[in-house]
Amino acid sequence: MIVDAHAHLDLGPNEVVSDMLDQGLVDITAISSLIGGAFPTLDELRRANDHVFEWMRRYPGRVLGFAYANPRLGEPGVTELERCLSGGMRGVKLWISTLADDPRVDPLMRVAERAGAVVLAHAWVKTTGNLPFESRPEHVRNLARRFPRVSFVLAHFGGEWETGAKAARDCDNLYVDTSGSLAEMDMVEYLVRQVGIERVLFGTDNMNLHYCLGKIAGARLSDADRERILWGNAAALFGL
Amino acid sequence: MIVDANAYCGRWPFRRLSFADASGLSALLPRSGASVALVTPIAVAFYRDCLSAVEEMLEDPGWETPLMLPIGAVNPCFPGWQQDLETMARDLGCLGIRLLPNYHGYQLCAEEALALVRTVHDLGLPVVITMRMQDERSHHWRMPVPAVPVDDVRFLLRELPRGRYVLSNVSWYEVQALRPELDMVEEAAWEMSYKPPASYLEQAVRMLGSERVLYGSGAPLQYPEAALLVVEQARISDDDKARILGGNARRVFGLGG
Repeated sequence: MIVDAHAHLDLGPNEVVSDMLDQGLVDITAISSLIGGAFPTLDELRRANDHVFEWMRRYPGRVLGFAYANPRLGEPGVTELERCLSGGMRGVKLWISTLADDPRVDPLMRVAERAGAVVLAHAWVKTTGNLPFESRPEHVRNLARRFPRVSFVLAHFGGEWETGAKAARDCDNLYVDTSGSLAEMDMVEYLVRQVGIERVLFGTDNMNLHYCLGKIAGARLSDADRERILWGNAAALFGL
Repeated sequence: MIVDANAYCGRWPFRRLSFADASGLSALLPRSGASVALVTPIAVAFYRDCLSAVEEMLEDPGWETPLMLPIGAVNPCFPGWQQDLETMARDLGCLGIRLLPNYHGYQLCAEEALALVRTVHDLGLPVVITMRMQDERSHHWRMPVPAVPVDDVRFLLRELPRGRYVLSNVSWYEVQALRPELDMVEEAAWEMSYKPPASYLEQAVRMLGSERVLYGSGAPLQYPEAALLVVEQARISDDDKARILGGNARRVFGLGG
């Protein structure tokens, strides 16, 4: 059993995601669409989220819909999120419209809290320089501390994985996914040591599935712990 | 028989690293089933004297021949490089010479680089072009090293098309950009350990032919299972997989067998 806690539509070829589902390589995938890019308009958000609804219908029971959100849109953006969560989506995707701990995020988080939705938040720490509103792991941690009854997922180890793991360490409602393009030796074991096995989720972020599985296969963990990362923790988090 | 065309030995200066010495690598290689690994000392990126880094690696008590075979490295701006290169090739048994232009501070289009590449080819060895040692986003705050510009590689391949080249730690996007030049040179192979994205191995085999793809793990800097699973699970023929996992490396590095 494999649950991919982090995948996207409209970020390169969608076949990357459909192939994983069609071939049974993953059982359940958490999907958001990134139509509109960094600063989607309300219309773009609706199209993005409608695309996710379409995939929820296409793969019944196998797609955990995540609503893309833009905190800059104010009340209309909140209403759009309410539409998505009342329609059966299970999470919220925050990307790079604002920093994760920007106060404009809070109304969206209150909706997520009421709905019991999970919040997947992008973060990176780039030596080459972050994008203008690209969160560091600490921004996501700040938000998670502000909303302790909401479960958050720090995307792709938080980017630079030592920084991400340390930022997430003392924040019990902050999970971390193992997606992304790095497969550096020790990164999974380090994350598990810092945050605890129960807060680590498997993900791809549309990278090669087997490359991402190789990180888990290569990590010095017990088989039981690998299973928790690959699906057990996600099953508990999403009540699967 | 699996040949790992991209393995390393030694400590990475910017973080704690498991399996860093030769005995660590020896313990790691069975995880990918590699029976031979072409190993570069990590220190060649950081020492001025690359020869001393290669010697140090070969003096590691955990060094195991023939499981591990050395890849040398030369900085053509360092005095006496010609003699050091001869030593690596003839006395130390290096099967290829790695160029790290952005760690050593020269450009591939510089006369010094061209002279080095000509000499390596004259020795009958492949030139291993190292585009990067790690993702540029993850470098130390005060010591960022940019990737080698694709245009510099393009220039080199066009200028000296006769000889064997391996593109190492190179992204698939960079390989695609270099496609015309890869077709131009006598032999050029893509070592695929650096972030192979979804489905691109199949695409690479269609575009380049499986004879130009080499399995490399990047171990111990990377989990060897990551690149291995990409090859093993790719939707390509068993013959293609056999070439990628070992046959091609044997040809490119002259391993025989």
